[in-house]
Amino acid sequence: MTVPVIVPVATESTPPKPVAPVGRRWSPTTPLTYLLAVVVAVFTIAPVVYVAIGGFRSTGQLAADPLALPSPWEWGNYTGILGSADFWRQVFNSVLIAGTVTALVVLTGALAAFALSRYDFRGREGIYNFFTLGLLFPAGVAILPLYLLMRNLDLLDTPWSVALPEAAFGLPLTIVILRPFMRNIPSELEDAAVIDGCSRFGFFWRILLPLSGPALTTVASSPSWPAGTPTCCRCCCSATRLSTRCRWARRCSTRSTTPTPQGCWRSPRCRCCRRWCSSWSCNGGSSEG
Amino acid sequence: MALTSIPPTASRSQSGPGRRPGRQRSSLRKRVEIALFCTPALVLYVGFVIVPMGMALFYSGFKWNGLEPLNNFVGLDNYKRALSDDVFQGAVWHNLMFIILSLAIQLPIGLGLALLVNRRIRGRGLLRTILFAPYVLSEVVGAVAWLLILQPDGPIDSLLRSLGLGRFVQLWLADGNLVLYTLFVVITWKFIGFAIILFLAGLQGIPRELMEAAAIDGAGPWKVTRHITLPLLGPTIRTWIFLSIIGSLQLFDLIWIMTLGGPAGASNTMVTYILERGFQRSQFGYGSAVAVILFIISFSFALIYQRFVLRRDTEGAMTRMVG
Repeated sequence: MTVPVIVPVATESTPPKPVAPVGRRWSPTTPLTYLLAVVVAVFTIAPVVYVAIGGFRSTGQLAADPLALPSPWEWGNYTGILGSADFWRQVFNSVLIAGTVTALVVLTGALAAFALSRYDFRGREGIYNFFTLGLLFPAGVAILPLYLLMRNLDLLDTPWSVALPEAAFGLPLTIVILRPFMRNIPSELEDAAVIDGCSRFGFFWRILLPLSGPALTTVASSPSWPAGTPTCCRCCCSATRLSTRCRWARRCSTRSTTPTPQGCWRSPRCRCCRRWCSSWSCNGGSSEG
Repeated sequence: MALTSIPPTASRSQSGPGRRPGRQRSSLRKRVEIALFCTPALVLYVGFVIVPMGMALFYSGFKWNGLEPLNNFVGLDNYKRALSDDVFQGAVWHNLMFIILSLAIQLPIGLGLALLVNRRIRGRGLLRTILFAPYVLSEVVGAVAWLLILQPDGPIDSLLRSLGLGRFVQLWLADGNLVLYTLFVVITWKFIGFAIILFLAGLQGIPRELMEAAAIDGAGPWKVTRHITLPLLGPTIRTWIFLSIIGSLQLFDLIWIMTLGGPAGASNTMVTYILERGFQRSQFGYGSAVAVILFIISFSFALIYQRFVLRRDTEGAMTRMVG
């Protein structure tokens, strides 16, 4: 690429970004911009802050005046949680699953996106379409088949039973995001790399992946935490439901005595979700392990 | 799978029949490479997405409670039942409302905020972090937080009262006419971060030379945004619209936790309907049929959208399949 640099870039340290026209530091709209920024930030963060501070209050305090600050500050809620071994086990499970999912999605997704973006071959669009099809499958629909599948594979009650479907359902979005990004990386770079003796994989590993940083970050941050755990929760909810419905539990569990959510199901979110499920499901029995 | 040779440049053009230097060895090598790159993703994807969905399709032909042997084949009865069910039609309508609201409200907000945090303002990093926070949070945590905030006589209500706006206090989640809008606010809060991430990534890809050139030619900030930034952001925006609509069709977690589709089905979406029928009432065959209907709706939409809107961005990705 031979774009003559007309304006010497002053700040080397900041990443390249489309900037406001040069020399404009203060305009009449600036205070408005800041006002808007503050309003948006407050709206966004208030619910989180409210819940975090609410954690320092007792139920009585919460009911008496929902808006007041804690008085006295109840540290028991937090210390109780942080001190329980159960909680740390849940954290460990969550981290383990999220890490596995992210690694699986980024690795397999980036490889596939590489093949689908920088190779020309027949069937390429077909494979890509096949992957995009996955965007249209609501994961919630697949709970029951997945549950049965995991039982057949003997993976129930292992972290894999959550991580594998999560990763699989995260793949389509990953590839949809990564492919255009990788495709837009100038081919001159590839030429240069090949001329310098770089292999295909070398180009992928040393040039394409580092350059795909922004897109990879998006991908890595998207599937595992937010979209990820709910499905786990859904499975977990369904398992809870199975176990609370004793009729089912007895008949359906061939392997374990009850399909109780064990091990991996015990992430904090699942727990929390399970509480909702069990408060709602027919006889409300909790299935805490 | 016959391979045309791969030019070192990954050109955007489709594989033309023109270039085919007959170097068999390198062609074989490339074939192997492609296979190696694609296989892990394909295995994962087929095993845990396609196979379960195929199973759902299979179950949809049966009247089945999930446990007994599959022997009560009912053909298309489940589908007929779903399509004539008022509750299901209501659920479809709610999904449609979420789509319309997303496009009309989330898109401008997302674009505006992306442009905002892309500007050189003080505390930009902090602002970005804050805006992404809800998206990074689990949907479940967000939903529970909002549930606490919106409960009757909860903080929202007391805030309104203390501001002297007591007459605006509502049963935010228990009023059938209001619940969809309340949920939409929460959904926007939760997912606007994704729009911003996507738009920001798109903005980073716009060469700054273009903007500088426009600025030198005398274009003001508004004109630069209108005539350079937004058009170049077009592919990203169209991708977001696609993902947003698909996401709206599949809304589930937040709603399930906050209202369970209630009150009286007023916030049912198709997926909460599936789970309610499938799990709560053990109608797995029927639930699967609804799932298949949802898939058909999503699929038709995607096909149309790809064909008429995304075509120039993705070079006719999905339309190619059907000719």
